[in-house]
Amino acid sequence: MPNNSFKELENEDSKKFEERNQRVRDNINHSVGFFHFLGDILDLFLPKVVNMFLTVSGGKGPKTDSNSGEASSDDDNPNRPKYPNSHE
Amino acid sequence: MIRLLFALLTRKISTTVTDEEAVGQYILTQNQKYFDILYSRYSSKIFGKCLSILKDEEKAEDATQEIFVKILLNLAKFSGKSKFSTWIYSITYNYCIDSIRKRKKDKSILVEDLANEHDTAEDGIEDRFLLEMHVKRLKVILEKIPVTDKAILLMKYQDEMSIKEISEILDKSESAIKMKIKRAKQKFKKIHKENYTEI
Repeated sequence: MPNNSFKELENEDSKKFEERNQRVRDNINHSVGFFHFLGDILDLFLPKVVNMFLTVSGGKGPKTDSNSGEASSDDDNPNRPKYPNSHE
Repeated sequence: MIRLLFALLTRKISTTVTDEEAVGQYILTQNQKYFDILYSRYSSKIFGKCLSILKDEEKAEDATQEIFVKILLNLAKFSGKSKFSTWIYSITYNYCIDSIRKRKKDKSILVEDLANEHDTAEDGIEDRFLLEMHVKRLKVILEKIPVTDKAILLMKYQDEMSIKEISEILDKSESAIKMKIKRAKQKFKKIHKENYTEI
């Protein structure tokens, strides 16, 4: 195999990393953990913040189960008695 | 006993899984062991390159850390068009060159010398001259050579990258890269001559 002083230099420099290895790995884990935490926070609160801005700016906001579906169609029915248990 | 079995299993996985498979699995599962495989394969090499370019162990350590965070956050962008090693070395070299550029505030560090574009790419300096040099001498010369020339020589002779790969990393044409290699070798030889008279 032909001699390559650049490879020898690489091996020499790489050896200096051994004592720093664990510290660098821990720091990387901390940094990545912090970014994941930020991502989770954004996932959790961003939709709520957007909804809040929509509501404040006069938008309808998201539809919920309570004001959608059959309930709203019953409200629109003109034959529906005002008091369900009364005889009119 | 369980720890030993786990260590053996991890070692077995790390020797059989390719870089690209480890990247794919990490993106899919976010399992730490796949990152550990990539880290154990490349951390010392990245540190070595940072040390060669930045010339300071503390700065090289910080750079290694930041480069790995960058790699992790951008792992999904790795398309697989090039080798994984080429991709991470491109991040490493560009990071180091940028940090030196910021330090020196030298915006012209990568500007082409258009006046000499008509030169031929042949330099007459044999690769053997560089490859068979004593490591101590190599170290001294690399410390005196400009950062982009050093990075190009490391890519060519240490990482054994092709001209095409280097051109993709530095976002230059292949002929421009050939020219840069030629000039880097000329500077290398000039510094060698100045420091060690017997050639």
